Amino acid sequence: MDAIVCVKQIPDPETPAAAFRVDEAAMRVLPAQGISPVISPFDAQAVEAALRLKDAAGEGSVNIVSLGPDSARDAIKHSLAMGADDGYHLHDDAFEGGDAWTTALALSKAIQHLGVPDVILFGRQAADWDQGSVGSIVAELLDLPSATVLRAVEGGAGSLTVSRVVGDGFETIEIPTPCVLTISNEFGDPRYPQLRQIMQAARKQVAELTPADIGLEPSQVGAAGARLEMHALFQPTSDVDVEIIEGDTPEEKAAGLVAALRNAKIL
Amino acid sequence: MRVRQNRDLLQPARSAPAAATKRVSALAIPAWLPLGGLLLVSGAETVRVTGAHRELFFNIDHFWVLYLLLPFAIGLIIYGIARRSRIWRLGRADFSFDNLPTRIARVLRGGMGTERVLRDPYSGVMHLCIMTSMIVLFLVTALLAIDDYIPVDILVGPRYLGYSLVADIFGLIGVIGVAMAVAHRWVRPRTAWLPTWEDWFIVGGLGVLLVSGFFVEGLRIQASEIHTNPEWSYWSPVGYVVALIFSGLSTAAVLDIHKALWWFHMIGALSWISLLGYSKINHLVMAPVNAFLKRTSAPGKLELIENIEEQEHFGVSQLEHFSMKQLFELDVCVRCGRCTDSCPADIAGQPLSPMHIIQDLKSYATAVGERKVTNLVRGDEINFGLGDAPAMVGEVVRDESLWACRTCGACVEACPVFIEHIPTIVDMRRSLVMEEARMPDTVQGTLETLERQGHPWRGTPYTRESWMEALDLDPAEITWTGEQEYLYFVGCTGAFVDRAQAITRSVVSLLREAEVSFGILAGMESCNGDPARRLGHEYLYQILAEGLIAAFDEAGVKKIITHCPHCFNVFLNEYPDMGGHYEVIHHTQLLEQLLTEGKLEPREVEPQTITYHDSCYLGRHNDIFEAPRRILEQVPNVTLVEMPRSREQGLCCGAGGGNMWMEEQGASRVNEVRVQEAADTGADTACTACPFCIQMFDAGVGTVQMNVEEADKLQVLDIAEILQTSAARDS
Repeated sequence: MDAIVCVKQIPDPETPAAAFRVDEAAMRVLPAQGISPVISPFDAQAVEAALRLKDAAGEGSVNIVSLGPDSARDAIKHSLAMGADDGYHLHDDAFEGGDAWTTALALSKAIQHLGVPDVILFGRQAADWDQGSVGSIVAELLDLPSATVLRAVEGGAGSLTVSRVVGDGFETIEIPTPCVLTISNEFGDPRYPQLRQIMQAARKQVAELTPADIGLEPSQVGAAGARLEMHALFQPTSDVDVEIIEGDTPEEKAAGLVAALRNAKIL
Repeated sequence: MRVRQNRDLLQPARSAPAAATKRVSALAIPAWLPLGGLLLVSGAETVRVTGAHRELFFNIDHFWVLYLLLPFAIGLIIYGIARRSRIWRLGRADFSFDNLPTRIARVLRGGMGTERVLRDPYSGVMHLCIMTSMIVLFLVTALLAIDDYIPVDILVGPRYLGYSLVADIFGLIGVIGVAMAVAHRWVRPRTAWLPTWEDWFIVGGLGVLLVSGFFVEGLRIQASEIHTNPEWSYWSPVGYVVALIFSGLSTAAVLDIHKALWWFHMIGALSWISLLGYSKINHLVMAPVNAFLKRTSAPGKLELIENIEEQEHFGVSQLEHFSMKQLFELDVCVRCGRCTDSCPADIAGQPLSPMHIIQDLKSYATAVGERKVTNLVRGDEINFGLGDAPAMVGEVVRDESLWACRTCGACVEACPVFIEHIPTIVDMRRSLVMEEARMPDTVQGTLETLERQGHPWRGTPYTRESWMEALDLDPAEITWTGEQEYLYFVGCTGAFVDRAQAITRSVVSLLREAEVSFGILAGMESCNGDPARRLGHEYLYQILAEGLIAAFDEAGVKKIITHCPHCFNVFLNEYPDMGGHYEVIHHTQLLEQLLTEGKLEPREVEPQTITYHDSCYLGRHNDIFEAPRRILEQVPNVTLVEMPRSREQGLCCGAGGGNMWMEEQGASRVNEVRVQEAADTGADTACTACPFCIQMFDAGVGTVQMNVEEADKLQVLDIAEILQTSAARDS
């Protein structure tokens, strides 16, 4: 069972709101002081899913691909520490400033360059921009079947049984391999790496891939190839009004609450 | 009464040629030493007094058999210890002999003086009876031997009679001690006690030997002294009473019984003392040795894993990963249960008993350690054929026991034989975390937050500057410039936890009021690694500590104030190992100093009774018991009351050892037990000097005093908050 997992490094979603800042002029998120970027939690779960498939099959490989700046290597190393075999880093100035389309294009070319495996995994969405489109675009570009927002994956080469999280419950389907899967948080916690694996991962070489390596022109990737255009980036302000409902008895308070909710047209 | 000297009468009784006796004696002398008191009683009993003297080996033929048995018993002891030492020697050799005077003082006071045993009056008296009895009876016998072997007679006349009396009195004291030990099992048993044959055999055996010693003495008196020199026999009061029991028997019968009992007593004594090599009697020798070996550093200090990236294993998952001292300690344990009785987890009904951890490891060392030794002797791989052995970490010692430890040090403080439980427990945690990555989800979450955000407070809405917003000052006024005397290290809890931010503000106000030159690092601060270290992640600790030391050194920090005992402990005791040397002062120490110097003026507070709760890392681990109490004593209108468990015996709040971030398992929660103890004093306020204790107390008050009127609930305050209210009242 061979798998490739695509991972993205993002600002830590646990960053307290007070430390979250954007540069509205440059339309960029400013890194919070003292808080390191992390692998997107859904992507870590995708790595976990791949490792469990490999463990269940008893053979195979789990390789990691990530597109991003220098620091993205840490997300790859984290995946390697969890137990993945090899890492590939799409790293070049030309990749910068891209959108979901250029990222998906670069990833699909990289996957073709490495050889299409039995299964290609993504997190359901990157936990920073939350677009959730790269996995599906890659499936389209590679002309592979895909199943998204999964909470369970079982089976081996040939066919997989997966369970999707849908609006009103779960949907269990069978999907032939090779295929593209995106993993949701319902899948469960990713493993905590053993120190020995962290150290081995630290020593492992991560291969760097440039646009030329995967058969793309610099004009096709990054800002040059992007199809989305950003017009503004700002922090929404939210005002919180607190009204304490007074009353001598719980019943009075409840009645007051109901009245207030009706006034606010919530009830 | 005229007491005659008549040495000659002694001589004919010796049946062995004098030369041979001397030779055997030369061998036998060292044998008297470990033989302790028993032999002594018996030796003493077998002497017939002629001219207030008694004859060695009275009524005994073939006593030379004893001289054969003596070296045999010694041999057994040496063999037992030597064999066991092979298991100890599986461990790493990293003995430290620093601070010799401290170690020697501990051997004298704690080892030989049994200081810690005496803390409990009943056990203390019991142990003292048995111990002094054995020592005195040993000296008595040694004296008899010396008297026999040197040409000058010492034990004659009044000296002999006094000597007889002393021997009898201490024999009786020994009997009382044994009776107390036996009664202990019914009168006030400790919860942790294991029913073992070993305990009964040791105590019961000792009793039988002491009593039979008196019988041997009594029979000898009945067969001789009572008729020839009755006034001498009054000087052996117990023996005299026993002698009267047998007054109806014929002399021949008395002599026969005496002979039989003498041999029983003698062989019994030698057998009993041989157990020194095989049972917990070994604490006679090994407890003082362990008192010497115990580290002289703060008891909660953890040892650095040097060159961690080059280690073959992390922490301890196999016997041979322990140090020799840690393995030796397992055998010193006498199962007294003091550790478990004082353990907060055990008190709260949680799955941890330090005594059982040590005992389970000891049994494991016996079963598996022997096989490892055999493998090594045969030249096999150490774990050859041990695939089916239970996992030491996980099966012999269960994960939940390791996680339930608060590293509070109550067990270490209570242990009368100076076992250090904390490093042993944390070493196994290290293996769980770093080797196996097996830990509760809450621990994993905490470690991940530490890795990513440099603090353990997952989900906090605050930054390291948030607490300053409520202060009426420009942050620049207290920002570290490198010019100030002290760095006030706010710490993660002081910055990220609502309740603790108030403590931080109080400390800042007091420092400003006293015009202390200080600054804070604010956003440049990061966790010092303490939570990671207590949770077993030594590697993460080292990364965090290296980072912070680099930041301190770059900022030119020399002196650090902390209000968190955990930060205080790690800076003071553990950073030097990482190359970080700073003068560290806890806010209780500094505030007391400021009061003494008159830079702070305590003023009235509402009249209230306060009970002070000792934080483990301030009190037990760093010996700061008095400074906070002296501060509270200076605040007008404050009456200080103590909880029954306080100072060295203080009970942990439940948060130590990383348990702040874990779910508790078990019958009840430690903080609730402790809050109940505080409430039971009748105090209005529980005061402490640790931001973790404060949170645990607040949570405990919420449940323990759920049905108490708001105004009557225990108020929980940091000492800085009390002093600030006090100092700020009129200003």
